[in-house]
Amino acid sequence: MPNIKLQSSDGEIFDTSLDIALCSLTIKTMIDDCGIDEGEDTVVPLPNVNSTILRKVLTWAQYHKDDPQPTEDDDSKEKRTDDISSWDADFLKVDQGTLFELILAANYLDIKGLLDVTCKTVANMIKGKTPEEIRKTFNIKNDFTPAEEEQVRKENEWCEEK
Amino acid sequence: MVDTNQSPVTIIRGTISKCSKFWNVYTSTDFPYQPDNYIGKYTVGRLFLEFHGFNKKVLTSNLSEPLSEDDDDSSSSPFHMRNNFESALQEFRENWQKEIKTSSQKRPAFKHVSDSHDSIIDESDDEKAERLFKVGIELEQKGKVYDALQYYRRAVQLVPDIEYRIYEISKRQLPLNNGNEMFTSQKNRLSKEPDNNDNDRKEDLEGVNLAHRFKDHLGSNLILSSLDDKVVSTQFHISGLPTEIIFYILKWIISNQLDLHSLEQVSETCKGFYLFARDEDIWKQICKKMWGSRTGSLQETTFSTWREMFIKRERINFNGCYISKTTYLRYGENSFQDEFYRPIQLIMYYRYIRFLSDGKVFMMTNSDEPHVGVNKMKNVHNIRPDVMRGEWRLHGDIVIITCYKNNTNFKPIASRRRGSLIALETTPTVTKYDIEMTIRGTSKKRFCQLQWNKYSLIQKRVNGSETTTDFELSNAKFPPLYFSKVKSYHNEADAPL
Repeated sequence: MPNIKLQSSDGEIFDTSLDIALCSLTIKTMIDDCGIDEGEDTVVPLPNVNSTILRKVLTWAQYHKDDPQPTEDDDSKEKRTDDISSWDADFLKVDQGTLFELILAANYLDIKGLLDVTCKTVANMIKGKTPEEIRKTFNIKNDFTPAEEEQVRKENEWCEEK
Repeated sequence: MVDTNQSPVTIIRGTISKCSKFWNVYTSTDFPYQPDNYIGKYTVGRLFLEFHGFNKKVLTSNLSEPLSEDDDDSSSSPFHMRNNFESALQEFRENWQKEIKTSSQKRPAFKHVSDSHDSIIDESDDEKAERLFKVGIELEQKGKVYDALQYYRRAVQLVPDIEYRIYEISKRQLPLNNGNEMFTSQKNRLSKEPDNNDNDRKEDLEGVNLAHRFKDHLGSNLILSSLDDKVVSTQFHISGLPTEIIFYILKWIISNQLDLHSLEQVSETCKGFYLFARDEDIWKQICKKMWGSRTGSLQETTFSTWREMFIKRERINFNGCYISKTTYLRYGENSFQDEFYRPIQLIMYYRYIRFLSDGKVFMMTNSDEPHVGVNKMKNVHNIRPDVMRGEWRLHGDIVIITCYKNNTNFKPIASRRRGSLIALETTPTVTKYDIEMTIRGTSKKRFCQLQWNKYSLIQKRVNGSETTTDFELSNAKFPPLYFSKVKSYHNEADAPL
């Protein structure tokens, strides 16, 4: 596999194997559109990703490059496992800021697998928590007035436990 | 509009916005300083000095020809100079006001040339628009939407993006309480007072559309307000994520099991998330997931929103298990030695039904206590053989379940393993269970009960003959099933909505 050079927003160049870089549909489209020939010394600029995050993304892509491409037919849905693999779980043991930046990078680079696993991690951080716990987890300010908060709670009563 | 009767000193000591306005006009008559140097919060003092230093020269040379003679005479006397200055200024003000009046009418295109000039020239429009918009907000909060709309429209006609600006101003008000902001923020405070009183009085929000209310509060930047700026953090905050990502995360939260409890919890955190969690597109998808092709449209039903449809329409719950307990007595055999002793056995068993949002259903009958029983149906990808699988669908308030007996389901695989097709042929029947149940609620909880309507067993023989047996649905043997939430079924997201 030939290599490709990726440049992060802070100017660092990552010399990466092409099959890893192609996990990103954004990069794939860039290469397809610009018709980069093998062996040519082209640098793909990625102005929206900094080097710290890009390094993490490439680590993820390195591990997952051989994953089967997600297909829409029923068989793959059947096989879908409920749990985040232990490698991913370890990989995502990062602070919240990094997690959000990974989401942004995965979204920009169009890496579905990484976007899914990161969003799922955030979702699991929220599921089953009380509003106050969610606020604490994500440093969210309660900007309701007491009356508004009461009203929202009333609206949500239908799904509360007895 | 600047008051022309003000003395020059007051103008200069007034707000930056007024000074800048003054300045801007000067520059159009070749004042030797660039206006940009003076538009800023720290230049008030300097501006004052510079103005005094240059007033004579500028006013005489550029603005008022007749006065320049006067000026020549009296240039030596400071008193005269002041008089000159006053009258020159007076005349200049009049000219300038005319100019502003005509220019603001004639040249709207000028507005977008540069931001700083824009805000300076249109300040009066801005203030007017702001005032109109706020009147609109107050009216809307009182429920007079029609009247409010007219104010909104007038405000928008003056300043097209007034809504966004008002939000921006209110956001900057507290941290940057100086310079240009001082004037507007004071005004804001005045007009906001009734608002605060309302909150203190604990307003009655019954029937108020909170989504509209919060949209007004937040303007175009929905989630940014949720950042708690009391906590210092350099981390990337959740409010920095783009809208589509927030929605994607919400879909993961709801996931296949329709974990709406978590979604509603999210809506209680802050205004921004409230708006996201009440998004009609999300609720429409939730409805589609529940009723599929039978969902219909909002026009066909009496519901005003998709969320209302979901809450009020008969549905089943995915985030747990429907359980019934059946007990009956059975007389045992007479004891061999003692014919007076006849045991009576108390038989107790449970029936479990778990629905999945993809149309599958699991059914199980055994004597396990619920905390053991629900665990057997936890892993939907690796279900135990003693659990019957089937499919469900909803017709109004009736849920129809069709199950096949497990061994017939796996028949082809089993026969292939044995390497012959004989096994298939010797399987005498295909057993199908047809169940119809009515969704009922209790006083405390909606739709938490399933009552038996029909339970029949259909045996199809290989030769094509079909026998149907209906079970007798006595309340003792087929009591209704009650829903219990099972936390482990949905505490992890499995797939996005």
